[in-house]
Amino acid sequence: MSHYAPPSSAMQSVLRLFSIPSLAKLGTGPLIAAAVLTMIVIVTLISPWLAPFDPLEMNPMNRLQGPSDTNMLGTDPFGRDIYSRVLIGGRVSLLIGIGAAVVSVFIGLIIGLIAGFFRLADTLIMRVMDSLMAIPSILLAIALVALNGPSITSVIMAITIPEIPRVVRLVRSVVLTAREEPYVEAAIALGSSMPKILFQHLMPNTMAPLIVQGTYILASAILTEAILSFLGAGVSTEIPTWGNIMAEGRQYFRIKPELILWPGLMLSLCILSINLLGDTARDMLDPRLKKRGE
Amino acid sequence: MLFKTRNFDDAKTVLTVQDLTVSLPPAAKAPPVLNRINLTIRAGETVCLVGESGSGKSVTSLAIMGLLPKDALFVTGGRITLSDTDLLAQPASAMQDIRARRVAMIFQEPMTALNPVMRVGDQIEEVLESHTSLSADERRKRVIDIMEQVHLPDVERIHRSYPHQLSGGQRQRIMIAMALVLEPELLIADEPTTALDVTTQQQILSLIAELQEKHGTAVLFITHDMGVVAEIADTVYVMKSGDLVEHAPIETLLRAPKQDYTQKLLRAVPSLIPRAARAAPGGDPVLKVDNLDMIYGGGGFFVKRPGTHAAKDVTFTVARGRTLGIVGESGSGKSTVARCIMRLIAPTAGSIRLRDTDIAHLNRAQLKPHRQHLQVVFQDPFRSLNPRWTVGRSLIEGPVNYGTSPRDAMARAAELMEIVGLPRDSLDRYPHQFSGGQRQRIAIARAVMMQPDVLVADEAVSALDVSVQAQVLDLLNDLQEKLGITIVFITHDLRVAAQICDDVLVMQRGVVVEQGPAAAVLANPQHDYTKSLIEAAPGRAWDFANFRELATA
Amino acid sequence: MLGYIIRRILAIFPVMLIVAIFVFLLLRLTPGDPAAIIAGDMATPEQLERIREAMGLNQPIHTQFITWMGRLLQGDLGTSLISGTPVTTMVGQRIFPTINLALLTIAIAVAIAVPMGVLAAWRHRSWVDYAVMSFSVLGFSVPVFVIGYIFILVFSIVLGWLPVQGYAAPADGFGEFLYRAILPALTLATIYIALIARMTRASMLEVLGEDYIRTARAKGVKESRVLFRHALRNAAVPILTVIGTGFALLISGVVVTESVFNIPGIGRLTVDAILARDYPVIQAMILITSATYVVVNLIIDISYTVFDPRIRY
Repeated sequence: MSHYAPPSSAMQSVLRLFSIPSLAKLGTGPLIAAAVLTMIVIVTLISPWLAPFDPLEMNPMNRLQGPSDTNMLGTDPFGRDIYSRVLIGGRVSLLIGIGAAVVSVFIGLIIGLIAGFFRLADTLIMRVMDSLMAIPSILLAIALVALNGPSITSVIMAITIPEIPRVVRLVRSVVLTAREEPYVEAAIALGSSMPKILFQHLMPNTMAPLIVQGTYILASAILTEAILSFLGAGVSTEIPTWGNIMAEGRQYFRIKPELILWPGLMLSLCILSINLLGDTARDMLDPRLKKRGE
Repeated sequence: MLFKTRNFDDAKTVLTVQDLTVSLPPAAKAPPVLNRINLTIRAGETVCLVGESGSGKSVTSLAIMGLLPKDALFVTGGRITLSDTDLLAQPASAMQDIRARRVAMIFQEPMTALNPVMRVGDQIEEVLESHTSLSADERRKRVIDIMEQVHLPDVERIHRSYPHQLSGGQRQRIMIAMALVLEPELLIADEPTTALDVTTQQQILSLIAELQEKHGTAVLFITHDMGVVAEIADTVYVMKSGDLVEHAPIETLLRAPKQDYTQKLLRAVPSLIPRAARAAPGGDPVLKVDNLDMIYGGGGFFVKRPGTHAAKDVTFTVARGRTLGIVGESGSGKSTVARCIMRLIAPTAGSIRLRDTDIAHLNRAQLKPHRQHLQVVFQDPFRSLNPRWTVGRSLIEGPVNYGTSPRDAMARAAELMEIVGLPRDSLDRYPHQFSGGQRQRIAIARAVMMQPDVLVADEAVSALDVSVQAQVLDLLNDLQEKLGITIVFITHDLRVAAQICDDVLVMQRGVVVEQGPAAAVLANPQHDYTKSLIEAAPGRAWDFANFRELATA
Repeated sequence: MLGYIIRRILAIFPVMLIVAIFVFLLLRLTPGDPAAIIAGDMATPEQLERIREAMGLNQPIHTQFITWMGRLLQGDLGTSLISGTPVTTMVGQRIFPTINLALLTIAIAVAIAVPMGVLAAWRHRSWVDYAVMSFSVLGFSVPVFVIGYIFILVFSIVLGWLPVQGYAAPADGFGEFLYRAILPALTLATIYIALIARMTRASMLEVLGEDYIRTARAKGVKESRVLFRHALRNAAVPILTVIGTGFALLISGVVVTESVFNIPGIGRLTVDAILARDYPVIQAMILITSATYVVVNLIIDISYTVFDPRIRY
């Protein structure tokens, strides 16, 4: 029967986000944010070809140098090129962020739908989620990395698990609100099966808020990765990430603050753009805010 | 019918509105929201401003108060004069001082118009704090005094209550007390009784009249309800999409409306005279409800709490092709009964026989084959269609669930669109592209797609303007005659019930107090509650549609 | 009212129980030999045996749990694998700097953020609003340690106004405490301010659109009174909620900030434990911080009743 419904209902809100007219309606702030983020992503993706030096190549003779023609941003305590390291470092940071956002939204959506729709499961699930929320996310992540080793997957997992309860709560509250809507009751009266109501009437309502939540998780995951690395509980130090570069800069902060400032700037710019785009998406998708704007 | 006939020619003019024009921001390039409105109110006079939604009545009142939403609406022309004070020329601080002292306002929703976290006594006292230099003792005395004037019981207790602890009528009395405590020259009342039950409405209307008499206040009363207008107005102004269409003393307007629009508005007011009785029920009973009981809640962790008994021992039968009205005020249990019949909830006890099956206690799977015989139309046309689905997809949802091919269902949907008076291409559009009345037609079409035996209409026309209301009622009537559907019509509005129902069942606090043929129950009520409901119906002695008194049968 | 409070208090027990079970299972459900995970790859068999002995890993899992829970209920949080000191003793020595820093941070954050949010909502879509919103997004986007280092760089190294690192207890003089704690507190407060200001603004915007605000204005009440007596009090519950949930951010921030500013609190204790893989200490820190979070939010839940008379059952 879906061939009678022009754009798939779940995709509609998503499509609305990317349609040309809405892009044109963006203010200058979000446009700059989008441009900056696109730049960062592209530069990060092609960084192996862009970086003048191997980011791992040590040169003990050339430690902690200032900016020069060869080393644009100078060198680190091991004589490695800071510019190359910052470029390459973004790859793992972004990978971890995207991984954590996708996995936590996906798992959270499934658990949230179950909790929102089946009253019996709801109480138990929400109790567990409340408990999980009570554990400070950084500490939980630290413990998980400490136990599972400093690999990229274990860091993604460590960031994902504390985010799941937030997604679950969001999805559940959207489903609980939507199921009170008369159109859902009408669907019950029309004899629609429970899976049909769940997936065709209720789930599409979660898409818009999930996209917004997903961008916020992406931002916070990149931030958390940096903090984990900074505390020595992140990805193994052989892999350059923005967090790792800053962690190594701690001891040399007084002599060479650039070790923290450059990757910090890149990281902050990246997160700032994601957050701004998330806010914009929320304003565009939240009908309540839209009504107020009219 | 006794209309007010006082002559105001000698009375002092309190408010003059001259050529008032209100517009959206210039960027919107929209026509003005109010187009050169002229209005005069004299001391002691009640002026009613009537019109359907979007006519600009509320904008007029907010413009007078100087409370138009910032950055959204602007006065772009005209003058507003309150006994020699040019209101539009006042700076914000002077306007702030004029509000409540010289012109006060009460609003539609007594539920939301009071601050939920402040004691109501303090909320009244705040007016005195803001505008007078009375001592705390004097202020308290004034507050108690005005609370007594609005006939609140147990003033001391209510004085320290929070809004949520009071009934709707009591809250509206608090609003009135707050508005009148400084004896303003002008009181603006924006649909102050619309959210209230009829019996409460009657009390509030007579309270406003009483206080107006006592203080000589001029009243600008905004309403969409012609019945209310007939009861209280000295002079009536009719508005339509930002224009003032016509104004006249009440009796002149009701007897000899000049403008087409006014006539149309009056004709659409449903009569309280029940419809002509239709041929006696020839068919078998399609729906038979016996001893239905519904108790909500109960239990409780520490203390055993009694549940709410929303429906007690409800019994009735409806025959094929007939319409049963379930009438009652809020909290009467009428919607609970509707939800039980629809099996959106399971009743605590009793039986609901649809054709020959008792569906009261069937489970989800067992219910499925019966659902198609039982359809529903809800009150809110903006929420009863999935906003993400095309109308076509919503319409075929039901038939496809029962095995009709999408193609056949679509063909049927196209036919139905014509029957409910919408173009065929509506099927490819989304609900937000339709008006409230059109959506309600779509919702009716969706229900009729299933060819149900019983259609439950839960306040299905209550959210619509009268002219649209009349059309939707006609549509239901036509469909019933064509298809022989049985309708269970839930409503709080006796006029609507009189127009569509063959039989009427009156509920009060979960109990059926009276039932029988509409003509008998409405023309010759037996139960005190039914009598009080009918007596409270405003304008009941007037036949609006024919511009004359009701011919008493 | 009392019933509500009692029910809220009782509700924290299942939450804490699930947290405890979770913490217990964390180590045991990780694939591989828990002792080996803790000791690292280079451990000798003797070291592994010592860890197993110390943590009771030799016993069956349910016995381990019962013993562990039994000790927990008696207030025994275990013993450090490195120093052999009971964790409770370690925490007792380190907790006060952290509490003082947290209190100072919350005071600063609320005092700055709430007026900011109110102002932004009142002057919606003005430059004030945009400034507040920009600050708030920025606050969410810069890692807390970067903020800390920037503050050190500007205020301590370049301007030389404040010490780079270190801590003094309020008992040694409140002035001295403030002198040393103000930078870490501001660092910690940044994200908290961003969070609270944002929620205050959103909640105020919502409330300012309500009918009773229109009523208050129709009464001719002064605008400042409309804002603070009518609107802010109605907007308070979501603001309080975010102060509570934001407490988790504060805990994470403490761990980082104490390292940056070299403050001898439990945040540093935690970081040292991570670096040394001192698992009993990490475990205890998770339990303690979770319990704090739960209690803080319990207090906030109960405080709702002060602001909203409708919450009384």
